[in-house]
Amino acid sequence: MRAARNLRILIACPTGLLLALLLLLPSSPVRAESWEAFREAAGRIKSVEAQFVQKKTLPILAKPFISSGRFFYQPPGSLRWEYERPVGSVLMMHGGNVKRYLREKNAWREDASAALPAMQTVLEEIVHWQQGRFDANPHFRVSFVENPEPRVILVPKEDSWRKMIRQIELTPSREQAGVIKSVRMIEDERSFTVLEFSRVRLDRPLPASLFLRVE
Amino acid sequence: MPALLAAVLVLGACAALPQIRPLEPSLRSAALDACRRPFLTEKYRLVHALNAVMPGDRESGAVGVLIADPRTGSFQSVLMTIEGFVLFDIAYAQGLSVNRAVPPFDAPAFAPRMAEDIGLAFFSPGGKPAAWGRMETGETVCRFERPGGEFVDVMSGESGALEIRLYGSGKELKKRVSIPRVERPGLADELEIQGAGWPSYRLHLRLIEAERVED
Repeated sequence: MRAARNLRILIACPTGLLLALLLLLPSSPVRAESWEAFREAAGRIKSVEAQFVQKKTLPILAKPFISSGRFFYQPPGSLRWEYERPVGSVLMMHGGNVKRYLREKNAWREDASAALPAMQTVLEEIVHWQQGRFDANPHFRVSFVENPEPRVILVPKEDSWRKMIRQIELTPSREQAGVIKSVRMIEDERSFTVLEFSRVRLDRPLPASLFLRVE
Repeated sequence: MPALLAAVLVLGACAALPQIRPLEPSLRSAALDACRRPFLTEKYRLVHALNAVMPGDRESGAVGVLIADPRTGSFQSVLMTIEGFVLFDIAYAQGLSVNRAVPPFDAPAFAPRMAEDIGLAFFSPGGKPAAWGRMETGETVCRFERPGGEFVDVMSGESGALEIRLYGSGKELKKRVSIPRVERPGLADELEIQGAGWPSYRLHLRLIEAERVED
């Protein structure tokens, strides 16, 4: 059904045909019509290590507030989201347990904030994305966009969620199948967060302590 | 329990402001200058790493962005998690407005307390102090009277450390801001705000960015 609709668009629009041909080039392993392939590739990944840069844009800021750090993932559900600069923080999930540590004057202290249960939801969502299970959260409607580059768009179904977040956009890597290259979380027109991953290394053995201990 | 309440009431009723001894005339000018040092003199955008300690030594971290204008006493402030989720967004101009408050920051008392913290730590309590001199403990002090019978003491020690104390209308100590040192007015690298009411809290701020804002 969807293929037939795409075909009608291609016949009616030569530009669309050109774009479709571009998308079919080998340099684009994650084609819009192959999200299932993305999921399969993601499912084969044994671990992910990456650097990330986070850019937070807000009306109150003259320029984006930039943070950076490292990200580790190991299926089925182990995560380590580590901010190195400018604020040291480690958020870990392992066996369904979430812990966060804050660096304060070169010492790590456990964070017991009320926001931690919410962060568990966020981390579980990240695990779903890592596994290509973009439709795992029933609170979001999922769609796939092809241009200007393939993206997964998640939109909250309920108003209560939309007050918090308007849209999430996930962009897969063109170079590494099953890997997400960037995440864009839009709160409103002028408030959004972009996470860009780089130096992604796959399938290296990661010690369990990485997801259990802060250092 | 009634006995404890009675004791608290008796102690509260007996509270008195610390005594100020007269200062030698030659030291008055320097003392007044020191009393102005904790506070902004121009409109600034400040980004802080925040570490809050609540009852039970529960700690939590966040990033705070503040645009404060000492000429008008107006400000806007955003609190967000290190991951970039905005938890709280308030502005004060003619009155206090809450643009966003994610639970538990939606408690009615939270916004006024935070506004009071910002005003106490970054805005001068007045032009000329009602009294100034030296504390029993040796620090020079300027005492400002505020509407509603409250008092603000700004103290300066020989080490360069500064302290701002807010006393309620019953002369009880409500809040304390400790500043180890400050190079430029209002731009302390670190400061700590302690609230004595319930729930008591300690808020440590580390300055990450400071930028003068042109109107």
